[in-house]
Amino acid sequence: MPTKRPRPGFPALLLAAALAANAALLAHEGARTLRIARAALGRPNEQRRLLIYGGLYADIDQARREVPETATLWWVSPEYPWLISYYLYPRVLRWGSPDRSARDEFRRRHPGDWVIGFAPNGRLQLDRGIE
Amino acid sequence: MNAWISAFAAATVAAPFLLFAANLLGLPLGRPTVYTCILLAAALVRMRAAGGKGALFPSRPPFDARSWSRKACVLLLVLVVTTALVQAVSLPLYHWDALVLYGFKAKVLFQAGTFRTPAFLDPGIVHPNTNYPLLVPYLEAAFYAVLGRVDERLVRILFFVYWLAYLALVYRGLRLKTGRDASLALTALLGTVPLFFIDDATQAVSGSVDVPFAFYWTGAVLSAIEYREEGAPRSLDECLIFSFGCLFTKPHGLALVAIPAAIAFRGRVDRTRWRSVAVFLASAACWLWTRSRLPDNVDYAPRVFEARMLATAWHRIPIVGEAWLRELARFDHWGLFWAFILAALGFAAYRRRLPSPVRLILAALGVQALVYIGVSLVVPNEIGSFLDATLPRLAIHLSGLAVIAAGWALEGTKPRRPPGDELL
Repeated sequence: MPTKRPRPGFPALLLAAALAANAALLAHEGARTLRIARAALGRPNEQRRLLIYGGLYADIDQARREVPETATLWWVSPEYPWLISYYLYPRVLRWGSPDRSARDEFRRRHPGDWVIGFAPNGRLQLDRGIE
Repeated sequence: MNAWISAFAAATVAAPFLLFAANLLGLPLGRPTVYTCILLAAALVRMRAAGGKGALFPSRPPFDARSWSRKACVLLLVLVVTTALVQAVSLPLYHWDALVLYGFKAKVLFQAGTFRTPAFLDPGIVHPNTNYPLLVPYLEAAFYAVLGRVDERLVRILFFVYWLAYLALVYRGLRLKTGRDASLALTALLGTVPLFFIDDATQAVSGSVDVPFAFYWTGAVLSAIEYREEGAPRSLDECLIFSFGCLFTKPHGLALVAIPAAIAFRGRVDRTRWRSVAVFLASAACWLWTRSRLPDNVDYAPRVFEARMLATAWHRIPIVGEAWLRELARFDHWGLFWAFILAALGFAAYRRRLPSPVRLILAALGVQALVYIGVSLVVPNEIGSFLDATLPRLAIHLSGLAVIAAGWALEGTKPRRPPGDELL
C-alpha cells in the first residue's frame, strides 16, 4: 500500500518560493550572459577589453604601443590611475601631481620619461618629456 | 570534512605560501619554482588524504534523482554552474578589485618574479593597497607561469573552481547534520543567489577574492566546530589550514581567525597538536612581518585613519545598521535568501531550542558582523559610498555559514525517530 507523503511545512514552502525567485532572476542574468558571450565569441582578449571599456581602453592600448616597456611615466591628473597602472605594467607609473597645469613642469623635469593623465575631456593624454 | 575539499584547501593555501616563502628566500617565481611548489603542495595533499577519513575516490552508490524536487535542484545547479562558466570564459577580468587590488599584484609577481621589487616597495609607484594579502595573487601568478603568459580570461577559471569548492563545502557542511534533499535544495538556494551573477565585483567569477575568502572562512568555522564536537586532530589541522587561508586572502581575515580559534580551543591550547599550531603561527608571523614592511596606500590621501573618528563613530550606528538591513533585503541581490534564513532560524527556535552547533555558528556570524560593523563605524572613507561598495561582498562572507545554520536548525525541528526506525 503506498505510504502517504507528508505535507510540506512552512520552511519547505518558503524555500521553494526562494528557489523560484532565484530561478527567475537567474533566467534574466543567464540571457544577459549569453548575449555577452555571443558578442565576444572568437575575438582576442584585446578586442574583448574594447567591448568592456570602449574608448578608454583604446587610449590605453595606444599608450602601450607608444611607450617602451622599460620606460617610466608620471601621472599628472586629479583622478586615480589604478586601471591605467594595471594595463601599462611593466612600464613604471609614478605619482606626479593631481594638478593638470603641472604637466609641462613634469615634462621638463623628467626629459627622458613620459607624462600621462586624463585631459579635461576625459581622454587619456600622453606626452614625451621635453629635452 | 570531505577529502576533496580538504585537499583543495590544503593545495590552494600551501602552493601560494611556498611561493611566497621562496620569494622571501630570494628565489624568483620562474617555472621551476612554480612547478616545485605545486609538487610540494600536491605531496602535502596526498599525505593528508592518506591519513584522513574518507578517500579521495570512495565508492558511492549511484545518485538517485527520482524525486521532482531533487531533479529541480540539480537542474538549477547545472544552470548556475554553466552560467558561471560562460561568464568566466567570455570576458577577461574587468572588475575593479580583481584588476586593481589583486590582478596588478599577480601581474607584478609573474613578470618581476617576486614581491621584492620597486612596484611593491617604492611608495612613489602607483600601486594601491600594496600590503594586501597575497594568496590569490600568487595563485594567479602561478597560473600565468604555467600558461607562460598573462591571460586575464583563462585565469577566471581559477575563481570558477573556487566557487564550485565553496558550494561543495556548503553542501558537505549541510550533510553533516541534514538530509540529502534538504542539503541539495539549500545549496541550490545559495548557488542561485543573484549576487553571484550580476555584473559587479560580487560575481562568482569576477576575480575579487570574496568567494575564496568565504570558502576559507566557512571551512575554518566548520572544522573548528567539528574539532570541538569530535576532537579529531585532523579537524584541527583543517581548521588551521582554512584559517591561514583567511588571513592570507583578505586583510580582515587576521581579525576573524580568532573566532574559529576560540571555538576550537575553548579557551585553552590543545598541546597534542602543538606542531600544527606552531607551523600556523610561524607561517602567519612570516606574512605579518613582510606585510609590516610593505607600504600601505600610497598617496591615497583621504584614507588615513584618525583617532578622532572614534569619537564620532556612534553617529554612524543608525546609518550602518540601516544599510545592512537594506542590503540583506535587496531582492535584486539576494532574492529571498536572507528572508528564508531568518524565517527558518526563527521557526526552528520557536519549535525547539537551537542545537549547540547552530548556536556556535550564529555566535561566529554575530561576532563577524560586529567586526564588519565596527570597521564601518571608524573607517575614514565617506560612509555612504563605502557601504555601497562593501556590504554586498561582506554579506557573501556570511552566506555559507548562514545557510548551514538554517539547515542544521531545521533538521533539529523534525520529530526524533526511535532507534532502528531509520531502516524502515
